[in-house]
Amino acid sequence: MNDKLNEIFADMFDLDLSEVGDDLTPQDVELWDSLNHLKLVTAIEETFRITFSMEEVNAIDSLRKLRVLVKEHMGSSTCSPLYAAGVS
Amino acid sequence: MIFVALSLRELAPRLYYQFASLGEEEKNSEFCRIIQHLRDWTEAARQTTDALLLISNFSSPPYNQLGIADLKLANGETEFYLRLNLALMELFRADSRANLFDLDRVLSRFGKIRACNPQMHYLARMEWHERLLPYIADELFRYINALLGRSKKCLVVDLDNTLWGGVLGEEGPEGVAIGHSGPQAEAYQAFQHAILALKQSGIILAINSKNNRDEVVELFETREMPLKLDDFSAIEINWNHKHENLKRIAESLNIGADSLVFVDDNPAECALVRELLPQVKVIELPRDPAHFPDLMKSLPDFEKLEISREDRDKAKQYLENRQRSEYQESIGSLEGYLRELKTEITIRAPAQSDAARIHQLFSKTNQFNLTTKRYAPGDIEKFLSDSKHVMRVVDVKDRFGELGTVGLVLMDVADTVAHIDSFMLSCRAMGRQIETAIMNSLKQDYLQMGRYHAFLCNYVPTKKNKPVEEFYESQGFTLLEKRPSGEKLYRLSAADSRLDECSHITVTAEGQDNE
Repeated sequence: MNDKLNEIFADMFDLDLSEVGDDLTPQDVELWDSLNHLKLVTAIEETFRITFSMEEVNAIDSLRKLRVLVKEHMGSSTCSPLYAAGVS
Repeated sequence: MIFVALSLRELAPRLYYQFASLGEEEKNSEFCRIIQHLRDWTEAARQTTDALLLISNFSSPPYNQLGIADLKLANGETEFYLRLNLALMELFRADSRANLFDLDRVLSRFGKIRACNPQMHYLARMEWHERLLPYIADELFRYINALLGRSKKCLVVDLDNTLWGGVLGEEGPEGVAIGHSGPQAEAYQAFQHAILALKQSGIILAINSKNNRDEVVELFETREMPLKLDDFSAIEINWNHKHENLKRIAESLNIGADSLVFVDDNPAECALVRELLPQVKVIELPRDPAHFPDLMKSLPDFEKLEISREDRDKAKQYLENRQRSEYQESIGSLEGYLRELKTEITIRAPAQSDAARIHQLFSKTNQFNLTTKRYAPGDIEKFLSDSKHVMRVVDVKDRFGELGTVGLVLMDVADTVAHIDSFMLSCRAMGRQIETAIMNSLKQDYLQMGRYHAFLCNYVPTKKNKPVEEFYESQGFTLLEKRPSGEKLYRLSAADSRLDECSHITVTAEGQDNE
């Protein structure tokens, strides 16, 4: 999961994998603006088949935070209401 | 093209969020405000651009605020959306520039509950789910296809396991599945209805099948089916290769092979046609006939912005064409035949109501087209209204019936010279010297009456307009220059203009210009 997440992150913000580290925040990454933030979140939701709440989306302020949230979601069995309804 | 996607949530949030609390007066005034707003917007866009305008209707939300009881209410939410969309449809119905985009249907097809990601809506005001976008794009493609004149003209179908279930040669006419005798039969029946609907929209139908012709005729005569043999304008039932049959079909209908869509259930036949006649669009049917009807309806290839009178009558006209060639054979000489056809043409200034047909001629005429300029509805509107352009359309009829509006001339005029920008004739009107009759009339009206000193014009070669390469030479024009591209420039002065013999055609020229 960690590798895949780094890959998506690097891809989205046009970074080399070696540059990707957990301390990165929107201030450090040039392309991490509000629109790309949502694109990043969507890409991760699609890849890992998880859904963040709006509150979580707004709380993601670093790659570390994002990684923690992904882990939490992957660990729990609750999935999005839409996925649960078989609508994806 | 300008595409406007409308959302009541954005345009009138009170209606969207508070519908249940609004009074009658407020609902009505919002209704009028929205329609007026769109009318104003369309008018402003019309004035400032030449683009085709594509305006969506409103998609009703997945749930009513008042639930199922809303359906009993007068002017409830359900009715409000229906009325709003009806008003939009009426607003653009007779408009050749502004077209309705049926967003509500696209969203329904996709699933309204999935069409919006509510989180993305609240986070970013995103109206649509990302996954809906390809469906919107598909629908837009239908309009683009039609606008660019890329629509196909003819559907060619195989027979066994395509129009009916089973192999006629094995099952016999009574054995094949069609009608209401079972699920298979009903699916093929529905498929035939879908094909018949295409014919109503002006698509020519043809048969390309490996079969014994007599057996097929017997089946059409004995079994009750939506499609009759007379619905097909070209029929190739034999044991030849299908790509060769397709070439013959294109030739007999006088259209290009790239105007054909071929439908067959056999993967090998499909592959062979794709390989040997790649211009033809090949649709390989899925294994289960249950999917055939919707597959046919979902094809973007036959889309057109409007169905004209010519479209509705097209199949009849091809039938009349067949009668014409039989008549020609019975008379023998071409001259005698042309005289006996009693062709009458009317050359007239177009009305606003001709705009759709004019666009069709510009976008679909390939062979008899001297310059092949593909003008958009916005350009056509300009030609109809400004005084720098003169347009003439040509209606044709003969002893067998009406051919409809089949000819078009566009000139842009300066002080003493008229430049013939476009000169075209639909393929079904070719070969009877109608072009000469039109040119004679132009010479009379514009040169010999002293209105202009000369015509200037050009021929621009394309893959398909070889038949008219020498057209201007044949009409007495002087070749001024031949460019390396093959383009030829011509001039005809009033002093040199003479009329060519064309007495077998009766010409009525009406509606002079108001310059």
